[in-house]
Amino acid sequence: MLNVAKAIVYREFAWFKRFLSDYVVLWILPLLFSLGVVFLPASLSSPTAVVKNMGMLYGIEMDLKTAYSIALMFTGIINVVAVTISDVMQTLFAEFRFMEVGIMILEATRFAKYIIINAVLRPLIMTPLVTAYMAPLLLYLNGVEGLLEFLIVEAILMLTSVALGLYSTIFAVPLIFHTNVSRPWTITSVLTPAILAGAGTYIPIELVPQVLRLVALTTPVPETCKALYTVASKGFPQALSTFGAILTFSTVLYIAVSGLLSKRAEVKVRRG
Amino acid sequence: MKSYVSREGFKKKRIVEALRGVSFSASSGEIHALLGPNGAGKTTLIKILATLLLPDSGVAYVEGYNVVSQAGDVRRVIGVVLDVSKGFYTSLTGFENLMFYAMLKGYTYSDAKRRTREVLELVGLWDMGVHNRPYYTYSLGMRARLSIAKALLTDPSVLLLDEPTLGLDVESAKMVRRLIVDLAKEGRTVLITGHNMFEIEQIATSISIINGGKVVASGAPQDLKQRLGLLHKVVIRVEGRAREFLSRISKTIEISSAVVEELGGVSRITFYAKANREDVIQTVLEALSLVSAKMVDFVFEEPTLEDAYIAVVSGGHSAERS
Repeated sequence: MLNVAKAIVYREFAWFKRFLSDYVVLWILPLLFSLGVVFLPASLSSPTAVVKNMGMLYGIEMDLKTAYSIALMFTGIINVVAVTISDVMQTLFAEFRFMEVGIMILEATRFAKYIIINAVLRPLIMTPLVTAYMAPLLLYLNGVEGLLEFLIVEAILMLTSVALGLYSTIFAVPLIFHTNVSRPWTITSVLTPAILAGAGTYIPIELVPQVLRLVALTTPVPETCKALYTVASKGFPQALSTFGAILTFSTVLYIAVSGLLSKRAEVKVRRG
Repeated sequence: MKSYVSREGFKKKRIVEALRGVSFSASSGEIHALLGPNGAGKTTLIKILATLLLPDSGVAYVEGYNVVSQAGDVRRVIGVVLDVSKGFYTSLTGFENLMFYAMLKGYTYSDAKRRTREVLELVGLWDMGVHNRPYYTYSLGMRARLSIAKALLTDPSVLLLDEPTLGLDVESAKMVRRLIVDLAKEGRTVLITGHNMFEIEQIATSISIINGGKVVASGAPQDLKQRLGLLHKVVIRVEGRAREFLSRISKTIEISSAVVEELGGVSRITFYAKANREDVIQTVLEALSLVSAKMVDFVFEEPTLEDAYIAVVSGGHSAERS
């Protein structure tokens, strides 16, 4: 198990070096989004009105800094969901369907072991890399307390990303080994916005259609969003314990399902 | 034995028997070639021996380990090359791909680095300076070298190579052939498949011809040709008594399609002999002395492995070693 983990970590950092420019884009786009959430309405009306409206929507007292912190933290979850869902699924697809790296993996280890470790480790490594831009900004906005906020948010996002990596694997394994689908991005490009919209990331949850909310409820992302409100509004950590419970339940469930699917896929692959 | 379910249309399925009772053995230092037409089952056999596929029935051993029940032990002693054109991460360099594989195989970071460099040097990629270039920029020859480097990374005693020179240019194919022979000389067992008969004849010490999922002929290349009773083409130019000379030869060895052409004072005799090289030469020399003719030229063309292969695959010959 340690061998597989070492190999995946090595490969991930090699990829990071090669695709640094992709990460820079991943840092810039959310920044623009978070600025847009606060400053675009503020420029159209007034900062006071924006803060008042956001406070009403999220049900918490806030000032401009809190509003911006919330917007910034939400860009984190957007990045994490988008990168984890699409990258885990599409990379697995490319490994086994296009590049046929699967042979190299099957020569060295058990397939199910690789899939599960990959689903856990990749998001753990990618999440800090795609959300690194939040640290200096939260520090600038809220001082040392902002840095503490960043560490808590980062922990929440990393734990969520592990569950999402496993969730993505549950879709990826049957797709790769039991279907003739050859364009996995058509699935990830539908799934990612559905989860984010259904969790109330873009618009308040009350305004989201029920079907999208149901899609989002198959993941821990709605609870992650609530946990992020709590951190941003420095509220009672009750939401964090609910988040922890739901996340643990989801992760265990996803490990069981993705492990079972991976084992079945290995049998299929080895039987030809 | 190995069968596949082949889907034809939406619901219709067909069972395809890829292998039906293949049996052969290869010993240390031997280069054993598996020949056969496309779809004969060569790659399936390599994949079973590499533990990548499970056989439906039957047993196979590599270095004494059962490929099904002791798959982990088998994986420790083998190196595999399957489809030299792919099998690596396109965005990683050759070096990074091998590092990833070495770590999967249990090497520490520093050992993986050392061993990766060693094998890249062995196959010439390090000296070419391309080890730090992304895999997608590699030519087919470089990809083949990297595949062989990967197979050698764990210093295996058995190499399973599926068409390692497919699509390579002359220089790269020559390099790969030389490397395979050197590896066998070091005491490794090499199992190789291919369609290039010239190449296989040059390097293989033994051959199994597979057709329809079964071994239809096996043995050393020379033995195989002999046992199939293939004809040698003989062209002799003699001065004087050519017809009597030919008649003498035909009394000792079986010949066919004999043609005598008179070219001034010299006769050119062409015939096909069903005998081994030594017997043909001996008979020709005896006949010459008996009829007192003078030989001015002698050309002896041995049947090639390709002739043997065609005879077995299309002619329905069976040359299984008893």
